[in-house]
Amino acid sequence: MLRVISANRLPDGAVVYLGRGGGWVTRLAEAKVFSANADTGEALLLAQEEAKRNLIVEPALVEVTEDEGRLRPLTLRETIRAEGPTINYLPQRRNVRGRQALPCGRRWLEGAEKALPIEDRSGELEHARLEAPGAAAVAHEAAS
Amino acid sequence: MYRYDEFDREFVAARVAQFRDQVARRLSGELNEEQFRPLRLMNGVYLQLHAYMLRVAIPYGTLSPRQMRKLASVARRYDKGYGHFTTRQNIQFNWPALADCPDILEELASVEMHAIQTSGNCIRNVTADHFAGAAADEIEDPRPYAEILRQWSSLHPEYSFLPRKFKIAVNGAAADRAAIRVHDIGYQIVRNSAGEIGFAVYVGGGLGRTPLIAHKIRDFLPKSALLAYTDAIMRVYNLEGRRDNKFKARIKILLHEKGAEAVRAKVEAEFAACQDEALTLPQEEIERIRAYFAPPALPHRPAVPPAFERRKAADPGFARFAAQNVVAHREPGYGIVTISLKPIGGIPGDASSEDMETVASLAEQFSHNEIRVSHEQNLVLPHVALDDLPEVYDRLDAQGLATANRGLVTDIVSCPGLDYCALATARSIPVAQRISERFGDSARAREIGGLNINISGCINACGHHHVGHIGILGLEKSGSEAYQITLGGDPSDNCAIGAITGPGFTAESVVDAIEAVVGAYLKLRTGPEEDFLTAYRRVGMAPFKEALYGHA
Repeated sequence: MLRVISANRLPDGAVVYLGRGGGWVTRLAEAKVFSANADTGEALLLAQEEAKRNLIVEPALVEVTEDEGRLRPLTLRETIRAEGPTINYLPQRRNVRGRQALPCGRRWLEGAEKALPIEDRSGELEHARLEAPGAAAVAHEAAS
Repeated sequence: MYRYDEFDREFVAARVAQFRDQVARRLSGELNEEQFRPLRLMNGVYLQLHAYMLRVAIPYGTLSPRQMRKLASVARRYDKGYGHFTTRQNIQFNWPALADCPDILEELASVEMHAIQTSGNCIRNVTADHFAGAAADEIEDPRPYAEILRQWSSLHPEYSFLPRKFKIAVNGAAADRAAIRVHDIGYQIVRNSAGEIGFAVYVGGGLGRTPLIAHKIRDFLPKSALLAYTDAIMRVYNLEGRRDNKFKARIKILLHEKGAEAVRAKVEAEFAACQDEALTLPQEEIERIRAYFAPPALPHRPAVPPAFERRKAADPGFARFAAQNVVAHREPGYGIVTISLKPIGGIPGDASSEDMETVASLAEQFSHNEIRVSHEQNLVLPHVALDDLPEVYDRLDAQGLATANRGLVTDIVSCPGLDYCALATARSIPVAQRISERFGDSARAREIGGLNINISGCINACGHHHVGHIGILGLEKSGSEAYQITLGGDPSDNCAIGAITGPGFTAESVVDAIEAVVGAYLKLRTGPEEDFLTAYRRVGMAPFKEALYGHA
């Protein structure tokens, strides 16, 4: 069984993976893959250090498989985390009777273009304190 | 509607400033996630699967056009151009950056809105009948009392760390449209034998993993005692509610374990002991708040409005909309118009910025600057002159908002489910979309008649599946989505929790299963006048089991 390390990016909550180059990447395809018997301890420690440095939150191992050269998560939840909602949620893409084509949020479009791995945004996070106490615990937040 | 006074303005502004500081400290590393999580949750910010989510309260479901335009602008500027109206009269933004949340909250504060107490173990947004102040069957507008409860409970130091979250609903009409019996406290406005108006008090209802119907613990509470009595309930709960087990911490479990009579006695004793405290509501204060909700001056209109009647006779689409989405207003010649956020195949409760702006414009022009948000995830224009309905309908239609399906099989209530939610075990929205498409033919949906389908993507029941006439609960079974069906739920006066039909269904087969249930109903009903729930109550589960599983 293959594994990758995933988390959410602190400033915007985007799903990220520990990349092959050591930084955090938004594409699963660029994630560092650990084989079934590989020791993930060191990488998880690194991820927890990154959480302490306030780059990411809630790092965890995610099981994946390789399918025709492409990485795929094993669970639906992780597939949705990797690929986004399975529905046409953007107003302009909704295939709904009577809906008009609607423009998307300007600000978000700018953000999408800037959806870079976290190492490229490190300048914005230079205040991150290295010895921030305690790694993030996995939360169970109340439903509405 | 209510306008903030200096006190409201200051405390909301102070909270925004505090949160701005907390976010800055989180981003700088001064606070870690463990320290920050309770702070962000107290301001309505969750971390979901793909992004943060901001839940903003719409107190008792009342919005002004100015507020709706602000929600549209926030969606466009800080999110992806849409918002999701929830089953508790809130709106959720699904994609805000954490760093933007203080700016969003500051913008919302400028139109007297906030996200305080939309999460956490505190008294949540107080909800009310979405037809309040307009309905023909109303005893009194519940919103002034919901507002009084909001003011009293906001940042209440004694009730900011309850054993668990706490939900209050107030209903002022004869028909319960606020689902008060599935709330921690439900207040029903009633008139006693002396002709005085007060509240019947229901306590201990709730859905989630242990669905329970509230017990009536008092037949009549004078208005002046609203806060003192709520305080007595809260004190009993705060002291005795279980803090050792999150799943047993709601007040419904306290009533279930100790008995309604024992809890009632404790509440009454606490209430009697606190009679001298300063919580008795002076009549002047009630009247001061009621004045904010004074009904708009509605010009006289003919009871048989000519333009409305002409269009109805000429345009079957309009006639269907008028019959399905417009209900009686207490003023002749007016109607309460439901704007369905359930287009066929659409995402229940979602509205784009442009949808919101269309509704805001219509409210300004045709509904005396009032909009309502229903817990059924629709919007409402509460005061529309029927002669204006043709123009309202045309403009809704141009925006794709004129789906004439209020209360029909396609008016599906659905939580966001696994497409967004970190707690979900299965997807809800795609199931809602497929059912909507299956029954999308409006003639067929009308033939089926009134039928509420509610879908939740996990046991927490945000889609209120327990009280759907047909409820669907999405679970995860051996790595796949599985859907359990319940029948016979009812959120209203004859409140009932739906019964499970039997083994669950796969994502592929669940829509066929719903069609089988509907088909069985059509076969066994005595006639079109016998709706699904009535028929279910008459015949019970057996014929539906037979239709689903081939044996009774």
